[in-house]
Amino acid sequence: MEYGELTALYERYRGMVLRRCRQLLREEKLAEDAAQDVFVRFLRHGERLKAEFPSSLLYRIATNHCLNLIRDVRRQDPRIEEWLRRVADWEDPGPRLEARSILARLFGKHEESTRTMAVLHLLDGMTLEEVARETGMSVSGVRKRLRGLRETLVELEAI
Amino acid sequence: MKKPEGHPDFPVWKLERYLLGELPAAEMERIRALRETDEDLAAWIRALEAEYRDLEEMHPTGRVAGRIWNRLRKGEVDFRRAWTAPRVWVPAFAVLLLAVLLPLRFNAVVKGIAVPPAQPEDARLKGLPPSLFLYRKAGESARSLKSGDRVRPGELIQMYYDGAGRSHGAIFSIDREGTVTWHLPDGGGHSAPLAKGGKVPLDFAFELDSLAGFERFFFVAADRPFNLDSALSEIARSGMRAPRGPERLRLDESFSQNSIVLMKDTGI
Repeated sequence: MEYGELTALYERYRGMVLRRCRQLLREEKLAEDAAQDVFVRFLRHGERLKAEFPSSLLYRIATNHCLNLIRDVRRQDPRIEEWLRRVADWEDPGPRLEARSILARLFGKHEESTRTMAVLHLLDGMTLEEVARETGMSVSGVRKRLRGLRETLVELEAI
Repeated sequence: MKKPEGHPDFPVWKLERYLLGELPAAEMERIRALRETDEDLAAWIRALEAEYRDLEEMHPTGRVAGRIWNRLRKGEVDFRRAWTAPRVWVPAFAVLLLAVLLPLRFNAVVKGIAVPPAQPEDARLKGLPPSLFLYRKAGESARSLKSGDRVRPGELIQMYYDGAGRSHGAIFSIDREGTVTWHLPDGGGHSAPLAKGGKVPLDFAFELDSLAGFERFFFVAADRPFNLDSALSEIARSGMRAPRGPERLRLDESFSQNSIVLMKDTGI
């Protein structure tokens, strides 16, 4: 890749990537650094060469990366509380939860891709079909993962 | 202004991909058609476009793309780390210490390290241009390099600049393939405040890679902060056809610029 290609890529996707990082991290400097990480990861990602729509892969990398940052610093972010609330509500409008305290434990029990799926579906409003397309899984696979995530959350709430 | 959080029928991620033209054709067409009649949808799209413009202003291409590029090119290795390794750090510290302590009107030589002389302040005031100086580090010595000198992969190049009274500057290098590596500031695209007082070393050395051809170093200085987005885009567009690279950037007269080209052997 030449520098000119990088600048073209950055200019095209800057808005989407930065917006995503800001949305999840809620802190300008952190989001700026995270967005750069996302571009570096994307450019090193072999999958990018066969991606029909680079936006899809970039968005997934950004989501994943920000969730990892959130896990690492256990950020107390109302967005994440909202996301956890939706995990708890998913397919079963029931119990409420104290989100912050269980975030790290929840993250520790599931694969990265499951957390990303949950955010895409529950926070971004993607349908299960769209999440499946986005992540390269079957719809039933996505549904199963999300159920597993919710069950873990309910278990953690009970502790 | 309305913050784009989501149209009832189209979440933001979908509108973003619509703006990028990266939705399936049928969906693109659906949004395009609805946009004409659905004022709410049109407002969400306008708000998103406005937010993108703000982000463009806050995160200009030259500055951020330069950082990403450097990270990719360096393989995440920060050359400042190499500079802080004891074998490099000790002579570096000696150079800096002596540059401060010794009279600066002659070449001080310590352990074979030639410390570049500073320009007397009055000379600079008389209009000497800002200058860039390159030194080849070899063991505990450092030798001055001039334009056209041959260098080899793996050699460490230490840069010094003399801003000659200019307030801001940028140092970067371009290789045969048009790859830009930022040296000052580390990230690049825009300028950094320049230190005063004669020759100023950068706080890290640059390790030459194995791409044969040339590495041309530029030092651009001005009396105000600036960015080099357009000048670098032009270089990227025009390619690097000249055998020693472009000698000058297309900049107006308020900029001072100079460059030094090093000819790179393959090392084989």
